[in-house]
Amino acid sequence: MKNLTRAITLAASILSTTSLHAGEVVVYAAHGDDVTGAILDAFRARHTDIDVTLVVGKTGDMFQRIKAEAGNPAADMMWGGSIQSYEVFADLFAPFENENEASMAFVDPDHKWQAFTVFAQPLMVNTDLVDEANYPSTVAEVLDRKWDDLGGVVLADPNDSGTGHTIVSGLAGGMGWDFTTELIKRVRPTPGSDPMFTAVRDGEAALGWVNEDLGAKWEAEGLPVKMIYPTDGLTVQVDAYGLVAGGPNPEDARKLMAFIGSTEGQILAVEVVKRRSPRSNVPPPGELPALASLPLFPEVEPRSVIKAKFTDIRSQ
Amino acid sequence: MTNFDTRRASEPVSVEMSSVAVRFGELLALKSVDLTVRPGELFTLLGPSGCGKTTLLRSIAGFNCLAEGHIRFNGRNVDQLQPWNRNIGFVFQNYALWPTKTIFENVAYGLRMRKVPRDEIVRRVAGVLDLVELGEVASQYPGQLSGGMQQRAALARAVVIDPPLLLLDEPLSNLDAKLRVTLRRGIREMLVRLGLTAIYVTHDQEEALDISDRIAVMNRGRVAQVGTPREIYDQPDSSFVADFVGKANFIEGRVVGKSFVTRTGTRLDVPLRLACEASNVRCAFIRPEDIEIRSDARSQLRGTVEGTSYFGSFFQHRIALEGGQKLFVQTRTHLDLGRVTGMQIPHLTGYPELPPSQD
Amino acid sequence: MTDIWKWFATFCLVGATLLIVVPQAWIVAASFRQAGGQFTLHRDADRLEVVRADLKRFGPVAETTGAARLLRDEDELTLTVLPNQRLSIDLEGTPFVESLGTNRLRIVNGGFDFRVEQQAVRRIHLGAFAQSTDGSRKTVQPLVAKVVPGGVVISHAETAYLTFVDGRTNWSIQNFRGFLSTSHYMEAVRNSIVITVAATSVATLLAVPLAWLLARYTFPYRTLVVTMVTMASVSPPFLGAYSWRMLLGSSGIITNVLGMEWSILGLHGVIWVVVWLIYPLIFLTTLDSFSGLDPTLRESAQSLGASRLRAFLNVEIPSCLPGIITGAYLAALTAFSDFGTPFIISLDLTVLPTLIYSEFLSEVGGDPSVASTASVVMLALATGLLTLQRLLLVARSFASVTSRQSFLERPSVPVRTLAAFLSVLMLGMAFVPHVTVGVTSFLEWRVGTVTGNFTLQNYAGMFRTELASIFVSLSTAGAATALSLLFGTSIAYIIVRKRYRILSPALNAVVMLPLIIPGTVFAIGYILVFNDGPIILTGTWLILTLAYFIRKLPFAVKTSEAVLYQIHPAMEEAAVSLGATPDKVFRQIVVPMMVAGAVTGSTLVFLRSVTELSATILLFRPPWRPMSAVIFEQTISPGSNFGVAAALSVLMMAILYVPLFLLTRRRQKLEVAQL
Repeated sequence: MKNLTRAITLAASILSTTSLHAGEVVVYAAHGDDVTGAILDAFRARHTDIDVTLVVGKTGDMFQRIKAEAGNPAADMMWGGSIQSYEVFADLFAPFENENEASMAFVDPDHKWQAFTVFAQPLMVNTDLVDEANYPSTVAEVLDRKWDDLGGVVLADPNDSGTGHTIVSGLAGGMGWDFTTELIKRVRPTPGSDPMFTAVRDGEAALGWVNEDLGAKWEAEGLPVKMIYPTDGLTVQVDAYGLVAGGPNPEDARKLMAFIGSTEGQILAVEVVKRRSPRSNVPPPGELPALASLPLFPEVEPRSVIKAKFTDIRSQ
Repeated sequence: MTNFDTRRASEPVSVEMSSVAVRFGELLALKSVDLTVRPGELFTLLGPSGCGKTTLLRSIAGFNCLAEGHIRFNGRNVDQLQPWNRNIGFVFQNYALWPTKTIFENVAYGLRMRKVPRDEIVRRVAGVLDLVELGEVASQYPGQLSGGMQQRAALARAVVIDPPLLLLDEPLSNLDAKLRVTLRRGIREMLVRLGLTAIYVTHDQEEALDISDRIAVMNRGRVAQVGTPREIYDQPDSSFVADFVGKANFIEGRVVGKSFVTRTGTRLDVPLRLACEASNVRCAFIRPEDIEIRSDARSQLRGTVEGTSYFGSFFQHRIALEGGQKLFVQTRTHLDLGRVTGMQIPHLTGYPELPPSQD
Repeated sequence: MTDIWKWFATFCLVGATLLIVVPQAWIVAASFRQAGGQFTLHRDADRLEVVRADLKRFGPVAETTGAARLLRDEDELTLTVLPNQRLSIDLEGTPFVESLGTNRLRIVNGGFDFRVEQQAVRRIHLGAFAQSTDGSRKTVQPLVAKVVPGGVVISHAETAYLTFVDGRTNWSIQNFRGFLSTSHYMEAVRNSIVITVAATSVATLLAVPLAWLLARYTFPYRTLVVTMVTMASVSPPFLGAYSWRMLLGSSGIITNVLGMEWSILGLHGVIWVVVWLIYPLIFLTTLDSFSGLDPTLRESAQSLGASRLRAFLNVEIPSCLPGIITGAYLAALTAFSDFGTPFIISLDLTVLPTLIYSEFLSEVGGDPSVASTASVVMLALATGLLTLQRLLLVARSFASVTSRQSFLERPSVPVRTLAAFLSVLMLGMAFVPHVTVGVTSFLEWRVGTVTGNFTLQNYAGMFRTELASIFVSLSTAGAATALSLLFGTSIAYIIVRKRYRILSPALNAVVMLPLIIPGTVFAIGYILVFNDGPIILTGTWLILTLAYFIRKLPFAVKTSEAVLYQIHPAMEEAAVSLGATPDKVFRQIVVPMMVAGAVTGSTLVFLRSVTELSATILLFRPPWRPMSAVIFEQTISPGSNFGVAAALSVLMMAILYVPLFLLTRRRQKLEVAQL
């Protein structure tokens, strides 16, 4: 009899999902502990009654998981991923408005996403492959033939990456399609932004673009990379978060989302994670130049156009 | 000394096959076979590979489905009986001993399936292992035994269940020549002692002649001839049987009156046995040991010795006749190569066709 | 006539259909659904331009500055510029419009189901401490539609791009035509085939000789080598492939020491890494075959004057082909479906799995019809491989396993040298990832790169992670292994021995499918079926177990099959003639003889379940978080602390390898006892 009871308990526990008691938030995150840890610790200290459960995975995986689960959502919140991703999957998200949106550099008019951090995307050279005399100072120099001999240029494929889209859309708007077409023909496209970053770091390519927070960390560690903010223009990428539509614990999720956007959360993002806040009243980490001092290329053409043109040019 | 009970628990059965046909896809492996095996008889299916003998044996065991016809044990139709309910002993060509079980466990398996009490199993297995002289190795695994021992273990496994019918599929073909001769006498004696019906498949005609009560020679899915070993050897019904069993000479020619005239015109006035209408005869058959070498007036054929093989107890010569035909002749004495010699043919059997050429 | 096996085969086929075909049917269906097409218009003042690059199925028939006419098959669409950022669209019937947000709306009529999205220049509001690009903070004019007689009028933002996507789909084989005529996709097919063929060939040429040497000769470290190859059949998830890049990349450790101008990245490197990943599969099945081979076959060839080498080539290789073919087949499918290696060991090499991944799981929205079409193409190629394997196997007669066991010979000096060379080379290469991860777990990692400083901090960090994940991994993989042992051996038996006209080939094909369905695609199928409706399993312990069981079942089936092909059917008929019913024959005769294959298969299932990552990531939910997910979390971004992941990988390997080592030792003892 005792064994039977035990068996039933075991069977039940095997079949059970997380017991969804009150005060729990399920977060699907595209970031690891290095980005979310400090902010979550601060949140937990403040809301001891709320359990935060993290499920970590690659950005595309997590959005597809939310999409597949849409009939019976398990997640309350998605944390991480470019705003382009949130716009593609806008139907999966419910509006959430931060109280301090007025100070945000980027705002979704439908409030499906909230900006978490922003980063400029300067050029990055591998210093083992490129000596200082050859460092580019402008994006225009990327077309120089010398890069073929030095190790080549990598660019994240906009078909696979929000970062790639932002860069190509920005360059096309800022430098024109003649320049951009030539550029796309020249580069090696990587299937995502991480492969582009690591290709330059590992010396597989001489030149690429990087998210400035990562580039700054690598430079500080003495890795053979050097970030260069081109004088003719560069793009800005927004890392966002959003409220999953129909999630099981919307109230507690809103508390966490508000905390991430709050001054306290944003200061943690700047000081611990070393990222730039989208809020104008939270200054960037000391080592990064002020956004306003940079010539920024905004995103002009939409995703489908950028993807189609990129594919077209590559297959010529 | 054996305590194996040779008094049969179940009486030997008769096996009747009527119009049995077996089909493998497009291939008709057996075409309308009719045979009756009498109770207690050691019956051999003999034939070249591919003749259907193993197929017939497996059909009796129930491993093949019949396309047509029926098989009866003691008059009882077994077509619908599953192989595991037929109560048959089967000895496989490659023994099929289970490598993961000891000899004892292998032999005991059939008794376990029959839910025989444990102590009786031990007694009966010990008895049968003594009978085949394997009592010493009961606890060993098949892999540790020689080929001959494995063969006897396989036999013990098949007979320990007291089957009314034992089927043996070329059980000696994997063994060396000397061991084959010893073991086949052993099998014969054991089967006679156990008094069960046994059907034995072999392609070795010498083995078949040695051990069988009766033999069915098979060819291309049909029974060519059924008879005792002597009938099969001495009075083959067809040139195929004559050729397959033992060594045979075939002389091409026709029957003219009461004589046989060879293709080159030599007339042989000898007693003729005919397997068909005289007018249909196309060749005549004589065994090598029946031809006599002689140079006197009674010699009927002349030829040149082309080659000689020595078999210990006799010589076998290849002699070329005029016109190129070759005869095999056995003698006790040596003949020099190239010698021209006369031969006497004591009798001939006429067939309508030459045997199918064999490779 | 009741045949218990037929019932069981039917049960298995129904189960496999529900757990494999049904969840994945959407892929096949999607590959035959042609998307409705799309186009993008650029509105700049009074000009209306059709963006040529972004036309799918729609083609412009006439374009004036103020209007555009587009044609899709028979359907024609006219859009005309109106003042004040408005656009009129001629539509038949009574259109229905719905707003989906500021920049999105839906327009539906009898022929179209458009989702329209506008994009104006994205503003960057630099607020108080800076100027925005155009100096002011304006809100974007929303996209609004109004039904008017004869169509719809939409008003939109200034200088906007308007993308129209028709959501209606129809049955068509157009996806396949498009796929086959697109050079980029065909290049992925070609790369996949090149990698599969090259890696499998090289791996076979290496693995078969080593397996033969170890099956025939006695060596001092024979058991150890066999155990270690089994261990090498899994490599630490994620960090495994990365190790090669750390060592042999452009500025890899070895490349730098040797001062080479060379990088492992590229097609050559992918083949190289895949070879060391897959050869253990060939080695293990081949070793089972060689060990089980009737020694008289070889002895008779040698008695006829064949040299050792000739006997090997003319007798042993042909007799053991079932094992070799099975191993090569499993290896080829593993190479064919490998996603991680081409992703990490190349910059821009596209193969079918990476193509499918990027189209299904692109963070910027992929093209599911391309992904599903590529999946079906992959399925077709793998089915071709399966057919080839079946044809090759059926053409072989059953190699007989007699009861005689071959004893191991003493090797001569050249043989010993060759064996030592091969063992060292192949184990060395296979363990490069393990050793690299092991070494770096004791080194300090900073923002995703390893330094030269010794530290134990990674292990300290490891103990702060969720170590309950060890229990989750072991219990799910253990249960999956038990299930696959039970079903793997019996399904192999149905396929090899029972040969039901429809059931056996159907079961064979269905059961092998999960091997070529990418893990993420597989997991999406499971979520679609088990997240909703009558059976809700997502986020449970059971769904991980089920996923591991189904995804790794092919290994259990195929290894059991290889052994079965070598067990002569007479072994079973002997039992039948002695009165054993078919179920008893299977349990008492076949199963004990299949143990060798089953142990190999179960080991593979267990090792591969614990290290499974791609499906896990989509299916797990705390508290059922397995080790592979915990490791992955530590490597999620290029700035992560990989050191903890390395330490966790070492822990995972230790947990896997200790029992494996003991198991192999025990098996070896059993073999000795039977001699």
